[in-house]
Amino acid sequence: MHTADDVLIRESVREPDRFAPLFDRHAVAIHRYLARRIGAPADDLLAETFLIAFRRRAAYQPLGLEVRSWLFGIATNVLHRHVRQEERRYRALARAVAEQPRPHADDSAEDRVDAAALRSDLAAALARLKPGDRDALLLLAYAQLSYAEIAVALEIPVGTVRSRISRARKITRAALSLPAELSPLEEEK
Amino acid sequence: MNDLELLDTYGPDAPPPSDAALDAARARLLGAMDPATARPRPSLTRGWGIAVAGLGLAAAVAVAGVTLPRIADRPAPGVTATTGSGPIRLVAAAKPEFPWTLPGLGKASFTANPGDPVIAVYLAEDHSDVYLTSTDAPSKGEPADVGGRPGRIIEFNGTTDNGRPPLDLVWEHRPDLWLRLTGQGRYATPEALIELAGRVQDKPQRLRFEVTVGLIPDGWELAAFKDESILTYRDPADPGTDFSVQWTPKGEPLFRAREIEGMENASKVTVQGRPADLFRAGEFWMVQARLADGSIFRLMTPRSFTEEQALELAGSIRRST
Repeated sequence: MHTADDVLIRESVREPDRFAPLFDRHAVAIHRYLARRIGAPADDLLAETFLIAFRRRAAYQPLGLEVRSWLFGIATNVLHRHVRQEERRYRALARAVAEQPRPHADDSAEDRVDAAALRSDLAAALARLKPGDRDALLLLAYAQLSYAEIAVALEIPVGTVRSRISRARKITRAALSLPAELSPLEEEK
Repeated sequence: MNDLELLDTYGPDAPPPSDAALDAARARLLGAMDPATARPRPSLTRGWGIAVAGLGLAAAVAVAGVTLPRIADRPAPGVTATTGSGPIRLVAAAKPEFPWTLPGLGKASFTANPGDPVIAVYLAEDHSDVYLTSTDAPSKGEPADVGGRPGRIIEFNGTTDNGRPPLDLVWEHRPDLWLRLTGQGRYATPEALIELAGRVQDKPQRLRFEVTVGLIPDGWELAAFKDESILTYRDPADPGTDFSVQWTPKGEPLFRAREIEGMENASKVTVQGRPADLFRAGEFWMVQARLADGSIFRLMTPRSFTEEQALELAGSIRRST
């Protein structure tokens, strides 16, 4: 029988071994999120994320927050100690890609088929974001968390999430030469 | 493609984790769950880490922890060593306690996460288990009245194997002191939890372990315990600095010098009138001694302790009565 994540957490308070399946279910996704943000140190930060989750399991409150989202929130907090390293990585990626030839570069993002150019622009944009704005944007884009889930995961009001994401998207869209206006549907994705 | 999709598709990427990376992370997690099976991993503790093959003492630090008041008063001789927060002065350790009792549910067992409050666990044959612990004031949940004191009923968004979700009651037991009761099975109703909360008494329960530690550095506190046989005390001003005691039944093999990683010197000493081993490794002292009933304890202290302090502390360890 497949036991729900939140049930496993509850049971693990009394039987710690019950926590192990949560690692098997979510480790790859959490690692990818960490690795996309910080690169190789993700291996260590993955372990750290799950150790923190394990230690805090008794305090887990499922109100409006799936275990998966809770884990992404912990991973994001773990990353806070490595903000400079994350930003250095983005700048390095932006430089590395920018130094490559751009055979199809164009002023219009819609016509820009050169993935390398996109990567460079996106990396440079991410490096420019405020850390809190970047957290919210990447939980939305990489982890596919909803605004409400991001709010609970980061322990901030949903209105703050909305403004952070709006700010972050404005910068990334500008970097991609996309129109600044967002449709309501896109805004609330 | 909008900007979010572009970000997900073309944003910085990374290769999937290697099997080795996943195995290592999983091993660290499993080590935190069960130090007896953990492989030594220096990264689990700061400062002195684990260096005894197969012992896993330091891994126990991550398993069960407590927040307890300072428990020290009587100075003892031997004041020379220092830690990051100052000189070490050994003083008498008071017996650790859980401040509350919940009558009518049988004998409690105790657990905790490192640095977090102790949880009293009351197990029931029909899985109607109850947990009691201290907590912060809640911000969510349905208001509840507990004998005239404010509380909140917090629903659990899920089910247990028997199909019934547990329920939490958080209430202000005393001004600015909030407790949490978690009820399962027949206790997973607001009425049952409020009734249980009314029974909670300010009557300390002794936390019973296989051994007691008679001396600790002044200001240090019990930071973790596991299976009632592994205790860790730490310096709250420098939480990475700690010492651990592991008790094992008689018949367990003694560690030999060649099994100690970073071994610098092994010597025979006397602890509580019986022959004992003193190992000096690069980052720690380890004292291995037998108690009067033939059981064994192993004490690991940072090298910032003096040899005399390590032995003095070992001399204060007794089998619980």
